[in-house]
Amino acid sequence: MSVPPKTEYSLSSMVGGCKLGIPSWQRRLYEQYFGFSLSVCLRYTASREEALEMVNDGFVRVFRGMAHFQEPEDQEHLSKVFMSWLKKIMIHTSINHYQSAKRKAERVDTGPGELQAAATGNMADHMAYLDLVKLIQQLSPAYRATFSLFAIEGFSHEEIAQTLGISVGTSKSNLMKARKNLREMLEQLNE
Amino acid sequence: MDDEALDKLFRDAASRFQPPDAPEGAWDDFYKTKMLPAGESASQRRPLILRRSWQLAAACLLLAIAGMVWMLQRHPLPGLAGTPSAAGIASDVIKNLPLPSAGTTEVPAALNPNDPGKVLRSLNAVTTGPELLLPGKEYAPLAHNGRDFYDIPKKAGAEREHHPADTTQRKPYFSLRDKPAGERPAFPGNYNPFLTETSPARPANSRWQVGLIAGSNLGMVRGDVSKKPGLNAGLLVQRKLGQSRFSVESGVVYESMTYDVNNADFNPNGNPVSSRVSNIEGSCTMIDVPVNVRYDVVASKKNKAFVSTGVSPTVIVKQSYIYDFDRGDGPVPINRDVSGKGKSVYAVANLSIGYEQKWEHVSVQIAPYVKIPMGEIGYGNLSLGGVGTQISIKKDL
Repeated sequence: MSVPPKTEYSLSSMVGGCKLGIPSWQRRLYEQYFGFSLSVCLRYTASREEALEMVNDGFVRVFRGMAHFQEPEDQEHLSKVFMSWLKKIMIHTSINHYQSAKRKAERVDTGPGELQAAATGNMADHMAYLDLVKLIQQLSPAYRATFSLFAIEGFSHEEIAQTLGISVGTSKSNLMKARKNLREMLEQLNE
Repeated sequence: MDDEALDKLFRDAASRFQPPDAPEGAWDDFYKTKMLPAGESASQRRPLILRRSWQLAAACLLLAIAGMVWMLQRHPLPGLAGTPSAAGIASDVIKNLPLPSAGTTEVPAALNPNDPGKVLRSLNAVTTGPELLLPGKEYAPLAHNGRDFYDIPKKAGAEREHHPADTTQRKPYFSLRDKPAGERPAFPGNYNPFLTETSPARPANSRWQVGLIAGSNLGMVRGDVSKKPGLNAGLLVQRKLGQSRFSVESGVVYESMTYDVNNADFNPNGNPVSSRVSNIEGSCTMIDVPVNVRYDVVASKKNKAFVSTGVSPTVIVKQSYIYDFDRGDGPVPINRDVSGKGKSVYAVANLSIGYEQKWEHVSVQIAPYVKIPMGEIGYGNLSLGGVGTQISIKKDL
């Protein structure tokens, strides 16, 4: 099925089509926001393959929950509100993923090799971010999630504690250790 | 590098990052692996109504079985009909008898009107099943050459006209309790009426009925009726109370129900729900055991209109909720399985009206109903009721 260029369709149309569960509109939304979603999931997962799987799991939740997505009255803010909603879903999907003990058994092979090859070619100009993401991916899951939520998403420690199911003190401790590890890794890169 | 500078490095890199396009084939892989059930291609995607396929299939299966039973009852297949009926055998006997020659009034020996017992013996000799020609039953008159064989008994009490051989070779035809006390013979000490009496034939208006139920429901919480239908399926037993118009119904019914919940009505573990939660939609599966009293407002042989009321003890088997959780900048859908949490048993009051159509020993009834909660149930301590319609197919026992 050939899909017209994404610029021909407004976000409002895509959201409306997805609320009706129409696959062609779901495809347009998926393809338009795939990259954004991947960039979010990369900082909460240990590998690109894992991030791609989180993107797909996140989009399942997006399409299932689309009926509950409330569009703002002012359509100018629709993009901002939708991206915020989408980012939240991707973050929660990624965090739930590493918290789930069953995730490895349930992993589905989505053909990461093919996806990765194509994605790498498109992202050749953005190595700075990807290099930094690789550093984040070397952190432990708890440190990685805490640092990303605090430093990049702007969560407070209270919100991080509630999201990850940890105490505020643990959140602060994780953030401190994550920063320490990242500094060490950055120094090694500079040497 | 201080903390703020370190955080800013990552934050700025993330904000500058231009997301890549979706690679070729990404959607197809996603759609096949995540959106479709295993082994199902995109062209075979199920319609929305079939998402609850197993429940729908179970309800259809119940209806199909009931329909087959009903059809067999009305039109028995020759190979499956079991024992041939007495009327059919009698008809065959008549057809196979040698016809008397024209102009004579001689009757074949087997149908000699002066020997009624012989006629009965002849017919019963080919009756292999339990349906003997009973004097207490009413049969269509046999005819041959335009002559009725009035010797086939038509009314109860005709056993006094039988050939003596009949009474010695077969069990008594009637319950001896039906006879006047003065006419009852004296019984020996070891007389057991359960061994010597023949069960009476099934009455036309049986007191017991069993049946299958299938239907649809809409969940209701404090008067707010859900828009998503659920399904019911189960078994039903009904007992008519004497000659009155009252009956008692009971059974086991499996119900799936979906319902919308206002935050004010949702009290998980007795606590008010967070204001960040919205659009709460619950779903549950339950097993209830209705015990209803039914009164037939209109009661004819073929159709009835009734009202029914009673109580259903209900056990909630599975429950889950989908809701939006707003963390400050947009709601996130959450799906949470809360099976086993909260009170799992409660009772609902049943009210229904209905119509029943009867064909011989099978009947079909349709009954819209309302279920009024008599307590709170589940994780959210909900007053969960419902409205719906049940279709039942019943058979006399």
